[in-house]
Amino acid sequence: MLSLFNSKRRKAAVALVKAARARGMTVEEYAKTLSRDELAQFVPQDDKPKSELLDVTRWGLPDGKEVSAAPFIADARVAEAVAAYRAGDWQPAAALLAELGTDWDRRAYAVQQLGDAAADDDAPLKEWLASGSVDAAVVNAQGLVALAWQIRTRQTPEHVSQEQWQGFFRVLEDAEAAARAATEAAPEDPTPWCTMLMVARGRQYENDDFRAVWAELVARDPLHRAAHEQALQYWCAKWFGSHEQMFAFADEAAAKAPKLAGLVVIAAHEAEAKGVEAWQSERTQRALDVVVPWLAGEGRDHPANLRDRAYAAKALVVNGRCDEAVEEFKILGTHADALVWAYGGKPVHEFVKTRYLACHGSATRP
Amino acid sequence: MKTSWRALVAVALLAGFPALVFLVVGGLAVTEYYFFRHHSGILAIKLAIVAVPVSYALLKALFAIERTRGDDLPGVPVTRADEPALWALVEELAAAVGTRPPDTITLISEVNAGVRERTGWLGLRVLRREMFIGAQLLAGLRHDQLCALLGHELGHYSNRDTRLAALTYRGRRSIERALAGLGGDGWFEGLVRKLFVLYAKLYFAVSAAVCRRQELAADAAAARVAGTAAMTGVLREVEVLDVAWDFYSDRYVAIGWDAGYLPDRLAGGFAELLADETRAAEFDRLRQHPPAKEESRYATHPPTPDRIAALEALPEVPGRPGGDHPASEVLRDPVPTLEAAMASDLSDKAKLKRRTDWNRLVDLGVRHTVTREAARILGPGGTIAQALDRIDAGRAAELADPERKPPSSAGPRAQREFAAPSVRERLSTVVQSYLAEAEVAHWKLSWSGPPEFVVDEPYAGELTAALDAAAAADHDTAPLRRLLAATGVLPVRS
Repeated sequence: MLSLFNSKRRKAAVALVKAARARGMTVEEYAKTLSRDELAQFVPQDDKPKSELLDVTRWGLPDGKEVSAAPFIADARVAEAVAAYRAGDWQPAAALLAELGTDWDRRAYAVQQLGDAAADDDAPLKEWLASGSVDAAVVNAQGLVALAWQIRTRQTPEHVSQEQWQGFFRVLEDAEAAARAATEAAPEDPTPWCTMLMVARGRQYENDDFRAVWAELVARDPLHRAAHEQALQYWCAKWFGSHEQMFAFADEAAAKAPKLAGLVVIAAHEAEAKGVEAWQSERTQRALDVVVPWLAGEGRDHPANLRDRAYAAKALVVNGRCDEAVEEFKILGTHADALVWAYGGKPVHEFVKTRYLACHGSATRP
Repeated sequence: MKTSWRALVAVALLAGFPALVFLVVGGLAVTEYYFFRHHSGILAIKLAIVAVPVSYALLKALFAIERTRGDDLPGVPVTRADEPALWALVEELAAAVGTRPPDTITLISEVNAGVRERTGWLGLRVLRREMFIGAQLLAGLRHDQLCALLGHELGHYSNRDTRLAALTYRGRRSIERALAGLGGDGWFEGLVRKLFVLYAKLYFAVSAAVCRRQELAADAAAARVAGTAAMTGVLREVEVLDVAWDFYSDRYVAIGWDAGYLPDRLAGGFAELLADETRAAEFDRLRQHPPAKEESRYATHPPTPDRIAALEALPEVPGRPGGDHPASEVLRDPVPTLEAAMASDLSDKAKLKRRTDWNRLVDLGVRHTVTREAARILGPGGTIAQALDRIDAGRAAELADPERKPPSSAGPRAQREFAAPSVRERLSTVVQSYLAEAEVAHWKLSWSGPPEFVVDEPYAGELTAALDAAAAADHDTAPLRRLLAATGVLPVRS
């Protein structure tokens, strides 16, 4: 098999074998005794990479080793409430939801995060529910949806077992009942209707039944960001819509408010995941022109900020707008937790790769 | 006549079978001789290693043709004195189709009937005519359908099918045996095997065509003596009874097998299953929508729909009066006669089982299965008290079926929720075994469905809710513990 190498490499390999034999060792044993530099002598010089890898830290980005796909909550108050809940104390969560009042987008975000925590451990939730709190009922419904999805996992349907499906549907039934109860307890609140949109998707509602839930939601908050994301998923080809329905929904939403423009970018990602080219389109470019200023301006503190930023960073790179992308990556820092990185199964790798391409394509060379 | 022409081809092919065998074996012998004379002995030995087993298998199959005498079917022979009405009916039908009645009638345990002739001189001389009637058919058919069935079988006699049929049938068996004897492992055996498979295909195709023509002719003869409706009826009915008997054997007769029991009334149970309203409705659906079967080109019988279509194409013959009586009325004492016939082919193992009445059988059988399953769930030395303690300690998932694994990414709550249905099912099995052991519950026979678990009052009303509570993700074993303490399964807590 030595003939597979070029002559320089062959000579080096033969030299290594000879040196090992002279010491009465196998090549592996001998190699272990050598220092890095000693071993390097057996490696031909021209095997070193011809071009140096870019060092992204020179653009002010964190080292690749620090990047993590662990969920990250940017809002300190929400993060504290979730941490307290996970430690067994539901009071800060209750205080937070009371304080947020009718800031529906932020409330939806907090409920989603608390729901995820409740899906892992429902002991504090039970106490909270026992206090008769309406907010607890809203979190309970969202927690059951998250629980159902933990059983189902985010795998594609063919990788979900019969027992997982049974568990998924069984828990979703409980979730639906809990969400209905929450909508009755808090008739003004769009949050349980947002939960209901997820239930509707999981329980495979027909289009018209889904629209009925949607109507209840928009009657309470026509610009509800989390609900629009949920509905966008429902109208995806992989769930109960099509590429056309998904883009129609995203376009319509984007026309309503800048904070909904990000949906168009998310839709582009969903289409690309199904093999339909959508990143490099005029639609995506137009959306980016709204999203990027919104991220830095009006949407600075919006709970969807980091999510939209991740999608925008990806879209900017694909469209060759690398300098802008590097700016977004600076703010994203080490957090590769957005779904845009996760579809290939290796979120950190995808994040680091895209970030590298951004630096590589940028006009500045620090 | 076309049939006899084809039959002749079949016979000729069968005669060709020995020729083929001799050709192959002879060729091997000649080659062997040649090697020994002109080449090294080692080569000859090498050849012998493959040639000897092949020759042996072929010659064994060949001589089996002559030896075959048709296996003796286990059954209950009935004489004219035993069953005068049955014999009278057979004789009347024989006269109607224009043939001599059989010499013997045997009741067998099968969903089938048949005739056979013991022949000599390659089918030219008839030694004895035999008729076989399945007890399951007598138990399930109407009188006119029985007439059609017997008419069909007698029709085979009058067409003289049976003369060559025995030979044709025996030929099929011999060729099958030759194929089974040839291993087909080595390249040489594989080659010989291929040669015989080709031959067998040709032979089977020709002989199957002969058999199918004979079936259609016998159908027509039967319709003439018993009525068209009775003949089409029996064709459908035999398929239904076949399914019913398989179901009965599998779900009812075998229920106490592992516990060491068989039912004392085989025929009685079958009759009750057929008479059950729910089952009758199920069988009726089967009658209306028979399951589609895949037909092989080597099948000896044409597909039932084709046979029915062929009958309906003929001029309609009206049925006989009194045709809707049960066929078993033709027997002098149907209950013990059918019982003896159905028990006649029990295996030696089956004969060792104790026989008990149906109610007791079902209880003992299910109890045995559930107790064994409960022991498996609890593990060696495990008790229900330990299982409940484990649930209380939040370790219910240990009771779940280990084969059903939750996704590894699922958190503790999701794992509990995932395990809950399996825990419910398996806890229920364990509780059932304990309640039965405490003699406060038993399993009840039902001809309409699976055995029913019956718990004595006042516990019955509480059991379901108690199991639900104990097995839920938010477990509460208190109601189940109370119930088990009340029944004496668990000690009462002080």
